Amino acid sequence: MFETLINFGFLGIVKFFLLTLLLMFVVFSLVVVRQVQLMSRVLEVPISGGLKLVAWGLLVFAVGIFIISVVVL
Amino acid sequence: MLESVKQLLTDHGAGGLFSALAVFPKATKFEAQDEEEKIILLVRPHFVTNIWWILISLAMGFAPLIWQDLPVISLLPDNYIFVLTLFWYALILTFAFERFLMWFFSVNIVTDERVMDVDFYGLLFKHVSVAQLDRIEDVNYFQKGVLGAFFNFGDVLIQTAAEITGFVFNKVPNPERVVKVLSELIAQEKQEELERRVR
Repeated sequence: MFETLINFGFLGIVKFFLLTLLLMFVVFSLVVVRQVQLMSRVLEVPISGGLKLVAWGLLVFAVGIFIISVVVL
Repeated sequence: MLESVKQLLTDHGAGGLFSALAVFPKATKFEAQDEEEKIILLVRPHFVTNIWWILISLAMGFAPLIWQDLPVISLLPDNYIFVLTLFWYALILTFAFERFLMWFFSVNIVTDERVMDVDFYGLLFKHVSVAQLDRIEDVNYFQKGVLGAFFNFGDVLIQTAAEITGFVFNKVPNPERVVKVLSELIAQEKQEELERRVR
């Protein structure tokens, strides 16, 4: 029983840290999206649209991992 | 067209979208650009300066192959390792993308009216310096290090008469050519200014 409790506690801490980190990562990805918009305003280049798409893709990826983590862990 | 720009076009070409030295870049504009103002040079640090983060990203990509043998990681169930691995690759992609953005958007622009130095520090800080060509007093460059000598890149230093006395184009390719273009542009601008005064 004691072993189970320790095991639960360890995984609980890991889960808490992982979810917190992933949430921070989602926020950071949002900052990247905003930053790409601001950078594209400073310098307009033909691939601005593509870069914005990549930034949005990374944000979707980050949100996706967070959702998967909530379900799987 | 200036002789130095013609020569640069002949020897170096116009440069593509990801070029560190683009001459008359196509479909490119900057904030606060005047309607009649033309971008002559768009300069970034030499591409080889990106090698450190490319290598780090590649090395980080192999980490999940090794970390499964670490005692702490081996304690975790498979679903935790799966999430950790996904998170790790997302981190690498974001790190590489962020480094690319820093390189791509931290540019130096030379127009027929002024020079601009745009620097992004991290994702949240930006610094833009602008100097009118007629306010520039001195332009020079220096090369340092093995990489600089091997790939022919260096720092171009621009001294101005303004309150901000100078700024630097960092690690730009062919710095001697950039200095030559700048010198000719400044001479031309000063000549025009002189002619305006005579009239």
